[in-house]
Amino acid sequence: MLTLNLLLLGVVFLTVGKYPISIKESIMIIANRILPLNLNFPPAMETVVFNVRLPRIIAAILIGGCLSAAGSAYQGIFNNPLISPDILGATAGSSFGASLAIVMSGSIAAIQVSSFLFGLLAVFAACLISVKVKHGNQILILILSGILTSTVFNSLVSLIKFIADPEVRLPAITFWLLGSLASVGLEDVKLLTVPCLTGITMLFLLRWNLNVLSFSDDEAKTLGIDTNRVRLIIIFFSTLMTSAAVSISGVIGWIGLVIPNLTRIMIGPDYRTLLPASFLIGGTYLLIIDTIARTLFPVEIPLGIITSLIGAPFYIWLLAREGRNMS
Amino acid sequence: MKMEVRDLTFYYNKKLVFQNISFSVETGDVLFLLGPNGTGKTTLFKVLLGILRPRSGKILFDNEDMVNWPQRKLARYVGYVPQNIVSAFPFSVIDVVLMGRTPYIGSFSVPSKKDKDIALKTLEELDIIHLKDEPYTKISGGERQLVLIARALTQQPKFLIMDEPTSSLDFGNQVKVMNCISKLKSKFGVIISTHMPDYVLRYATKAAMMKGGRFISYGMPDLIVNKENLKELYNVETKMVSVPIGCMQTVKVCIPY
Repeated sequence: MLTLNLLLLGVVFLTVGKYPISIKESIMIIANRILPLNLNFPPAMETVVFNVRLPRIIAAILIGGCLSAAGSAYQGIFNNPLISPDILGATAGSSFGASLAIVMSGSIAAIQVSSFLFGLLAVFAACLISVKVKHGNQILILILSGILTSTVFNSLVSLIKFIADPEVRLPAITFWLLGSLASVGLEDVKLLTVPCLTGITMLFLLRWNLNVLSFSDDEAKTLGIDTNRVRLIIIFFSTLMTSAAVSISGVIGWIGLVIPNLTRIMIGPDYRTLLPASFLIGGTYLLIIDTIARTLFPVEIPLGIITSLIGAPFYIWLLAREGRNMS
Repeated sequence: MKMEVRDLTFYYNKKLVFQNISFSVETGDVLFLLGPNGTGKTTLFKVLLGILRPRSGKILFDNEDMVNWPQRKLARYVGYVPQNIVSAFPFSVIDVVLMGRTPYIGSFSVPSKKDKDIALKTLEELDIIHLKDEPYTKISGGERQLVLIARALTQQPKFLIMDEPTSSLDFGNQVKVMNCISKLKSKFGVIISTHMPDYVLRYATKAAMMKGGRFISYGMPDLIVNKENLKELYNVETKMVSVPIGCMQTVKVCIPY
């Protein structure tokens, strides 16, 4: 049902925008590409559907879905519902990578590759620090390492902003950091698909392990799970998804925190259903937010702003709820 | 089946936790471990469960050393009932119990119908089938302990290790859990840590007393749970009394004073 909703929304949102296209027209345009119907549409209309709206809609779904699924996985392996994909420094690292690329060259491909690589680097740095510090609560140390690497990369971002050319490069960095899908094209979607689908497939295959890892590490071991290896695999693929998403869209915060928790409240904590549902609801959520962002006001509002404005109050509500549950 | 522990020693960095621990447990045995807090009982359990590696000594299952066994194989031999724990997420009771099937299902797959039937049957045996759809986080401490026992039984191990299974329970639930253990003992070898000498006298087939990382005595419960040993273990004066319960049966209890 969630899948159906998402598809329906996707088709409907194809029609929303400055250039008027009806539902029937957009379906026909897509059908025309796939089936040999030989219909003729104005080239402008085809361009709007194929090069502007369709890539953007697919990107919104994939990015929202990836951030949510990765978030739900992180929360499970750290046994803490208040954790998000940013926690290990993936977002901060990606931000630094993108800022660096914007200052150095500014080409889209460079931004993506660089933000992706630095996202992974940040997470591995965090993991390495936590492995080197060999005592106490491993999970706490890992989270602290993540906060440390985030701090370092955020400082480096500030440094780049400080020295960046204020006419062109600085606004570009600032805009990227706010998060947007405005410039997403077909090429971006292609770049996004492989890491997204690989990541979600791996996490889905490990869904039962995620359930067991939601209990303490020692318990998971006594239930026969090689916790260190499985946790590392899950961290790797969650980070892959997060970095891939962030490298295309910029920083869109809070989705990885808000959506998994919302989904958990709706259908329960079992990863066999939670993981796919998080992906679908996250995709739907970002699709709606992005459509609002591009249509509601004459100027596009950066996505990061909207998701934060919705996310922060939700987080407070969640904290209060968790507090009540614990007492 | 026999689990045999020989000269087991463990230390963190240079700090010794326990040394030269030896004992054996067979199917049908209930070994109770008595000892003051911080004496290394929980660490000993972690080594037996493969969470920590022993520094020296051996753990043998029917004479086969488990040192290089994968976690998955060990989990089919030894099940663990931890002290009352809570997950951050409200998993339903049946899902928690189903996790006991993890060592039998592939890394990439999920429990089958057959696994679920085993879990349901265990819930029925323990008389907590009515809890099956309740969130694990919302049931009482005693019920939670029974659910953790159900999970360990669903794991179908040869041995059960229970870390103070009654410590956080009210009197009624303590009796319930102990009765459940004595009902189960024919199918498993059980190792339990406790602070209650009376339980040892009542339910144990073997007992060990641990202090300062060593076994100060090990053997038949009737013989080793006595005034002198309890004085050495806890520095408490006690009197041993035999109480008749029903006809032909007496139970020894210890009364501190």
